[in-house]
Amino acid sequence: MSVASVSSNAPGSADSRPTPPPRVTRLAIIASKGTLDWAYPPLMLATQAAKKGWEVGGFFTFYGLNIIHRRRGRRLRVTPLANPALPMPVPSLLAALPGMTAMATSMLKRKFRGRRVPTIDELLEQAIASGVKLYPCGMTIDVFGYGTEDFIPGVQPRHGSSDFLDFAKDAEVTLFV
Amino acid sequence: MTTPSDPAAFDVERLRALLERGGDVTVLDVRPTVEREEWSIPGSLHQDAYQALRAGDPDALAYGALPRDKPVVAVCAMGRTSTIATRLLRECGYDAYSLAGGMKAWSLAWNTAELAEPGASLIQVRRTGKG
Repeated sequence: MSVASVSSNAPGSADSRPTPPPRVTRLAIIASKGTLDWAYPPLMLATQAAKKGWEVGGFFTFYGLNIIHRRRGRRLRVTPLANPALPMPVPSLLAALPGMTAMATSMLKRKFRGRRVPTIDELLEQAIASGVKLYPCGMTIDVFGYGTEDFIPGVQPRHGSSDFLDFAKDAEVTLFV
Repeated sequence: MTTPSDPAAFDVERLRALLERGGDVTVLDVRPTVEREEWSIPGSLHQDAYQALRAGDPDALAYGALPRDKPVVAVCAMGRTSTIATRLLRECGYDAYSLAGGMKAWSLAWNTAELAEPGASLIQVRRTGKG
């Protein structure tokens, strides 16, 4: 008998059990900030992970809910006030002047566009289409008085922090933004 | 510009039929935002990558994500820029195609619907792009 004819998958042998599918890497992100600059990190990380074939869940809590809010999400802004890291071409003292937030928001959008980074709307659409699960925090929904209709299409039903912890427990990568 | 004989081209009729059946396909619109706001293919995703693609930027579609388990059909106005997008997407491992003729061809696509009327059969002829 040749070596090749000896089957290790003969019925009844220990190796005949079906091999479980390889476990997919899981990423759990908590998004807690609701300004334009801080909307990008969780969505960029989520979409890049989805591109790798990872399972991704994002928990949007407190001001992070703004990112997936139907109206507020379209009006995300960034302020230069008390934000020394923002590369604004004006002295910090002038950051409190009216119109500076609009200027900073416009500038940041231009910078992102210049580096081929999709808009927040585009990232959200692509994330949802790629299977990223976006969970709005149930407690924050109640605190801010939102309804389920206030969120963009494709967002998951409200989620409790306890439920998300169960999801994050088995994640290889967990991030708080 | 892609033509229907190009293996990377996706014919308008094929896309229309696929979408009407609720088929598994991702449509990626790469036109500028102002053009997309005028009209778009229902259910399509958008990434305003037109300028970057025309400039030959290899990172034009480097960010963002698309479903990997179904084909991607890139769409632009005429089917030229979407050809560039298709090449970049294929380099990233996507099963990507370019909509031949772009939105111009889509606007000229026709389809029919049969409507049930008492005592008669009514065929409604519609231009896909006009609804």
